[in-house]
Amino acid sequence: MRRKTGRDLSWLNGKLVTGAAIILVVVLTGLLGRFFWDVKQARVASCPLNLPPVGFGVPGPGFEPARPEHPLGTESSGRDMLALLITGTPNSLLVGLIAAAVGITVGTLLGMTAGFLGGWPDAVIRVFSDAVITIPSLAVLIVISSYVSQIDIQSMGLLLALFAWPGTTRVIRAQVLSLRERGYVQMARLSGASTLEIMVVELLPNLLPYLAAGFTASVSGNILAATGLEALGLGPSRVPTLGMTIFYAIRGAAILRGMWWWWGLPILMLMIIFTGLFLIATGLDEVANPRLRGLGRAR
Amino acid sequence: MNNERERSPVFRVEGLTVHYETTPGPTVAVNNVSFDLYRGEILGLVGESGCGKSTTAMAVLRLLQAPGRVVAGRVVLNGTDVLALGKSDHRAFRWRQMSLIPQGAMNALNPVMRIGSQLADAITAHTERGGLRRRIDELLDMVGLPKQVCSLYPHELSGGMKQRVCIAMAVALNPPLVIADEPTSALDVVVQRLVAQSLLKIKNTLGNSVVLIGHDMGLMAQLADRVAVMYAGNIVEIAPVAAVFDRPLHPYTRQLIDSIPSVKKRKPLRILKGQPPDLRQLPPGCPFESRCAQAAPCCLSGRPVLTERRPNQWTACHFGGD
Amino acid sequence: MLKKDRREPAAKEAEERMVAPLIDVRNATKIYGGGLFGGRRRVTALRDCSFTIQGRPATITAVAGESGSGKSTLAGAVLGFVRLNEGQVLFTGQDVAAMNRRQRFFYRSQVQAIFQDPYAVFNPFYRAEHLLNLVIRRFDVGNGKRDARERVEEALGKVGLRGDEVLRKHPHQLSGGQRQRMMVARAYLMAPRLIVADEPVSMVDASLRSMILDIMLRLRDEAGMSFLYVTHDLSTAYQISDDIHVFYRGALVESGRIDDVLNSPKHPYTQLLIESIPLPDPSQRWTTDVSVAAQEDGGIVSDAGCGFQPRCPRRMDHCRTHYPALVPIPGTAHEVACHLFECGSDAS
Repeated sequence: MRRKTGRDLSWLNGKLVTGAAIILVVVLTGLLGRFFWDVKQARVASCPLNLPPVGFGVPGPGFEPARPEHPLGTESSGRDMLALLITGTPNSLLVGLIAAAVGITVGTLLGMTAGFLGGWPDAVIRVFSDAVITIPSLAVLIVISSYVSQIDIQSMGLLLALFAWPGTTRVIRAQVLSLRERGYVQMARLSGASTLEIMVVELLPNLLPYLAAGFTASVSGNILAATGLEALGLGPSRVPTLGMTIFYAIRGAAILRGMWWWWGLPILMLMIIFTGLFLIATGLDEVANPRLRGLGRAR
Repeated sequence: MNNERERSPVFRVEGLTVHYETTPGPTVAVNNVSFDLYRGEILGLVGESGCGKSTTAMAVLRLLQAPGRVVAGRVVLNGTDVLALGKSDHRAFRWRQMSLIPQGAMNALNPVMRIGSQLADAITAHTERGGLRRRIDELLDMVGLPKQVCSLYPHELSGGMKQRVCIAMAVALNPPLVIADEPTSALDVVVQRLVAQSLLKIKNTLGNSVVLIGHDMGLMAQLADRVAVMYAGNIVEIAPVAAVFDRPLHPYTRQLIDSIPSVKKRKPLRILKGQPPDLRQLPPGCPFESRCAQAAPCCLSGRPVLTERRPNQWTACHFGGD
Repeated sequence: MLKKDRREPAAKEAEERMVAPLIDVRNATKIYGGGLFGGRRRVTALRDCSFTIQGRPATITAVAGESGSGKSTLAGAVLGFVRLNEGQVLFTGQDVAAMNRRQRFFYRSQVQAIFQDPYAVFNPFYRAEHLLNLVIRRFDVGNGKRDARERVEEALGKVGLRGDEVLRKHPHQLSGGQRQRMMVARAYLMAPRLIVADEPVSMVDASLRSMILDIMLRLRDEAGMSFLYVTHDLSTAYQISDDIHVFYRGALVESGRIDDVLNSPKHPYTQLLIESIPLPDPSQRWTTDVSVAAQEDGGIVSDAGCGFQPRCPRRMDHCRTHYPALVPIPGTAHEVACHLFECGSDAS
């Protein structure tokens, strides 16, 4: 398999670049937004209530018209939507990131061990990961979350990581099983390399494309899972997140009242995030599999 | 030999040129290749990897995939211009007039169909159904396989048996031209002999002409009537087999013959220096110039053309013949 | 050259090793599958085979056979990759399977390999020099960086390459021939006593073939390196080998000096093999058909008796039930495993 390595940048393709750009914009909005907008308006009772976004009409009688100082509107607790988005998005992303990072790391370690060593370590790890996969994660997470009264972002990330690792384990194990028999691994053994050296120096770099794509998909999946939990009210209550905003919107009967911006804007933001991550994952797929690229470039 | 030349050829390739569209510019995989094939003759098409022999075969069979395409040339079989046929005409034409024995039979056979069904498919796809069972038995007998093979799946056969099934499929409709693309490369030596002998027997019985593609000169010596040597997309020599082995004209052919190992006598190892040229940047002159012991200034500028230097022996070399 | 204190264990051990043969294969047997978790049927990859490679003077020993003959399994056993069910592979008297870490390390420095597929031995993530760096780092080649670099240039020079041509390139930028030669250079760098060459020229064009074979000859003559040349191609074996061992379905059927075995083969299988080779001489074409009995079989061979007897044109009843032992033809170093030659009778 001939792939890109080193400084050769021909692997950058349209999907990868677009996806990365989208995510970059989202991240920057989250990180730098506070310098351009007053994010203290995300606190309860800091703004007038129930204002629609600028340019849109009121959903019914009893609503005040939009005001320019709250361009995306406000919600029933007096929080500015734009401020909520700016503060909530990084938190949602962070949960996904923590869960994915822990899940990928644990999954890779277990997968490589199982694949390379074989024998009983493989059997144990395989049975264990297969068992965890069959457990209905959402149900378990709901139970656990409801026991814990106050949960913060990091704990939520770790909780989700509990179920994020088996998928990676299986994929990495399968890859390692096939790579294990490659000529260069045999050469490394002949050169006296230790098992650890072979795994880290020879195998790991060749797993990077799978890890990168797996990581992106995992972030996506975990943000979705987190949002699901939050929308049920099981997320962090002290810091704003996109999912919790949706929860409050449902609890505040936003749908009945026609306050579409309350639940619609977080969802829109989530869609943008998922699209960006999906494009990155597909783009990385092309990198890992040169046959998907145009024949002109692959040799 | 002379009366062969007076007959007209069954199969003729004229000026076939195939390009592969690559960035930054087309790669000439087959350059102005021409040869004739007479009835009942086996023409060996020899060369190292990358010389264009398989591409030639694919082009003739119209099996070329993008980014390869035929940019020039005619392929004439029994008077029909193969490349000019319409799609549906060509479908009827293919297999009945021209068939393929592929390299690596393991991949050519459908793993979930029994042998009998696959043979039946090959026959009925191109003709009517009557006497099917009898014909299948006939074919298996021709290649030396027992009748029971019909009810087996490909994975239950050995490599040699699978290859012989492919030969049976290729001659099912008795085409005048069979193209055998490295039919024995993946096989062991003893099995190779078996398969080679099957091929020879069939050719003698049915009288079809065969283009035998390969890189094993030993096999060519045993099977071919005439040999065409390819290098970097060009035919550099084409002559009867005895002439190619005893009195080769082209320097590349000479080096190729010299380097063949033999179990009968131990020869000193002759090393062919240099490497085949990069097809994307072919020099304007002779493609073999950089590795040729006899290279002269004229070899750099003028590309030699295939000329008849001795009776029935053609070579593309400015000095052909010494 | 190589740092002595790191590599040579006790002097007494070293002395003992001088006398024992370099490689001594004793009753090596390897069986795959079968048993409780087998699922597939039992395959005897190697069956009670024994032979030695002396090491001094350096020789090229060919191990010839077709697919399924066990030659690759044998190569794996010699390299310590395959664990034998029975029998041993002794390296200067020491059992390869029973070596401790230090002994195995030393073993690696003395026995190296070159493989068939020049594409697969390079890790696509790194540049070509990675192949050599591993060796340099692990075996402390040279005293310091500059010396190591010189040794690399020397090794590359032996195979006709230059450092600036190949080292900094990525594997896909090198030709098959360059890659194959780098593999040989890597083996040379470690100055081993034995190189196991597993079909080194089968994936390489005719032009490169001669070059690689020539390199092997030169390494034998100039650097005193022995080779275990595993191949299915008797013609190339004839060109460079000194001795040959012919395998059929895991059993060693014939052994001897290459001229003896190839010019007057005794075992019916060896005879069949040699007959089947297409001679590159149009005036000597195959005249007879390969006999029907010699057709390949897909059947299971019973473990009792000779493995070749279903296809043997000269089989006897005795062959079905009794496994032939490898016995020398009287007065020669030529050995055959065939009942036709038992009791010292020359039945050819």
